[in-house]
Amino acid sequence: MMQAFLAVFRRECLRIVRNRHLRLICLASPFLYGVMLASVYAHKRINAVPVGLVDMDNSALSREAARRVDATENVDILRSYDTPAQAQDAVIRGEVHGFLYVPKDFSRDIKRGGEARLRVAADYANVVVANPVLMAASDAANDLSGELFTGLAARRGLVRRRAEDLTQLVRADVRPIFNPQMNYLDFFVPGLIFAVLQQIIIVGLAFTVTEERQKGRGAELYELSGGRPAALLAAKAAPYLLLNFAFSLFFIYGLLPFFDLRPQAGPAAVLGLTLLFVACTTAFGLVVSSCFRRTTDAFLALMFFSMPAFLVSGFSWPSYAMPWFVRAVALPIPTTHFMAWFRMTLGAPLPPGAQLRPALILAALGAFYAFSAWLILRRLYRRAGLA
Amino acid sequence: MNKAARTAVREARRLIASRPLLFLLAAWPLFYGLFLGSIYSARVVTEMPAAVCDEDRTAMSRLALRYIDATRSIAVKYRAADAAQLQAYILSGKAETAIYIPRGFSSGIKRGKPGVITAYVNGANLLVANIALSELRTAAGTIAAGARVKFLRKTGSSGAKALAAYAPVKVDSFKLFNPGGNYLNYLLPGIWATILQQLLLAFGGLSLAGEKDEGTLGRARRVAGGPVALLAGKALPYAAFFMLVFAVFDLAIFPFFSIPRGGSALLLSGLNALFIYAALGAGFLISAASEEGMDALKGVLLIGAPALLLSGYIWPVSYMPWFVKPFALLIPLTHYLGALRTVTQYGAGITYILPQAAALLATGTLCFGAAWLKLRGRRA
Repeated sequence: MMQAFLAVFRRECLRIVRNRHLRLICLASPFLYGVMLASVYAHKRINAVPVGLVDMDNSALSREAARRVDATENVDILRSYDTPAQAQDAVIRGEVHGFLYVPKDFSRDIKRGGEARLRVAADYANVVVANPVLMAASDAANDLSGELFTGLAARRGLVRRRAEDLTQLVRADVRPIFNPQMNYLDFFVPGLIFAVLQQIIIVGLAFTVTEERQKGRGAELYELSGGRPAALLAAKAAPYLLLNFAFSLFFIYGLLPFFDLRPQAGPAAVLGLTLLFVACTTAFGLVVSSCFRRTTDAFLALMFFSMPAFLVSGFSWPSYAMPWFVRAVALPIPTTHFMAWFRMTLGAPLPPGAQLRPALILAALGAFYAFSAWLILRRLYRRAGLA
Repeated sequence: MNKAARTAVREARRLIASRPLLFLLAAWPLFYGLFLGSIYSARVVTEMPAAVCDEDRTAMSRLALRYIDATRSIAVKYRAADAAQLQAYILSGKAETAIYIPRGFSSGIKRGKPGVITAYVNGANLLVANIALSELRTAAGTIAAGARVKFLRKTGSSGAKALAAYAPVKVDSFKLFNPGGNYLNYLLPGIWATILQQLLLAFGGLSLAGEKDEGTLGRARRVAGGPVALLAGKALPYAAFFMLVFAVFDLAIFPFFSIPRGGSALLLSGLNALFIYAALGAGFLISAASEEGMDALKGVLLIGAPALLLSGYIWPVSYMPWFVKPFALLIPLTHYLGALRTVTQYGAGITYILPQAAALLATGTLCFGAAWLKLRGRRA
């Protein structure tokens, strides 16, 4: 059994090194995609979003309001426009992503003890860019309101300190955990690199399996593995498992720390779960590979797998906001379970039991896929009259 | 002209004869259109599970929690007995938000001391965290406003005056071009266009390389008579079919998901045609440069896989590092999505999309030109 395993294992390792397609898929693309996709989010946060200003009031108070908006880290008031129509046109042209509109009589209304409206328009065609614009305007308006209210209350005889307390009488102290800086790199990149790795494992296996099939090497492999489907599968999968486990460790302990992302779980938990993820994905890849007869068909179909797999995983759009059938599609995909755990462990130390659930699911899925692959291979051998 | 037409007919027959390709062409766009659309069918995140721990247990703390529960996005699902249990809810992933109201919250407020509601938000998913952050601040602001109004009334302001003066500067926010701030309208057009680009690149990529695999490229060349007719004839069936696919998306799939489409239909068709031209051109260039089908598909995967992330549709190109930007600008999707958003969401006219249209035209022309050179060179 061991001899058969080693013979097929050695053959597969040589194939990875000698076959130019496998070389690119298995050796070059993890580096290329890992580094490139992480670099896209190197800026980490959307700040200093360019916005416009339409100041119809042109008073000291309106300038103060604009200054406070500009002072937030979220936006930069890039230029002034004479009318809202001009500002909206600038949004459409992509010069700015929103604008602040201070209506005429803004200052007069406040001085009269009335209510003044500060208007902010943000380009919600891109929600990621628009959110900081609204947040900046809201923060600046609250700030200014608080100060004006404090002045008014002080004039009515309230001690200034008490008046300040009154402006902040109930405060929401919101503490983002797992991603305290609320940055997009921490949010996206850990998931993206493992989604890419999953794709690389599946495509690599699909290529090697379908190419052997296409070139009619089934009998040769059967003999080499001593007629044992389990040995053949294990030996064929082992180089991919080891290689991609090594890439995973490079991502976790080499690439992510470069962007200040480090797992908070101990090495045993990280190594154990990562190995389970890679093993489960490899077994999944073996099953998927058996669906195709030609390498080009496998490639064509699988190039449409990674994006939907990422979208249904719940990594960006939460699972509870998806219809049940989409959630069901996500369940058999290994990244769904691994990425959710991995992202949390990057943000905070998790309790010991937190590893258990994803570990059990990945182990169960992996065992199921490995058994399915074995059944499929055995059936193929029987059909070919080999077993 | 006749030769190009003959090549087009031959290509259409090849396509019909190949079951996998035909399936990919006819079923894949529709399947992806409907399946990926359904992911975002909730449009906005609502009923985000929250856990609360109310150690104050007063009318005021219950009111605060009621305000939070009444927001559109947060639903109080779990009640924790203490802070430790609250932490367990969020670490186990059951709750996205954990809200803690300390003992003495209400009595402090009554004495005029600020009361703090501590909220732990799962920042690992920024999309959810941003919504929770905004909702929690609004809820706290509403409660604080009540106290300020009360003070102003006590000190002589009439009801209306007090309501105006508790927060003299109010913000009216306008969510331009996507008033509901919904993610379906925001993300889906980009995701669909990415899938369609991938298909265009794949069909372009396999058109010549597939013939090389089958050993029929020589025959195709003889039917066409020259590289121009070969390229034109091969591209024509795909271009025609994809114009139909884009029309199905515009006329059926967008309305099915109630995604509003502004702008001129004619302009949109023109833009779609330019995108098809550019993406097919890139596919044909990959195909002409490839030795076999697998090489072409690797090239397609290389461009297609990171296309959405590089396109600037989600993360703006201006925030990407300098060495990533050139790659982003080489991909047809980057220019198409910029123009698509301008036409369909902003409702803008042709003058606003001239740079993107020119980029698509240039990409297509350069790619087809390079493919022509490659084919001509091979014959020589």
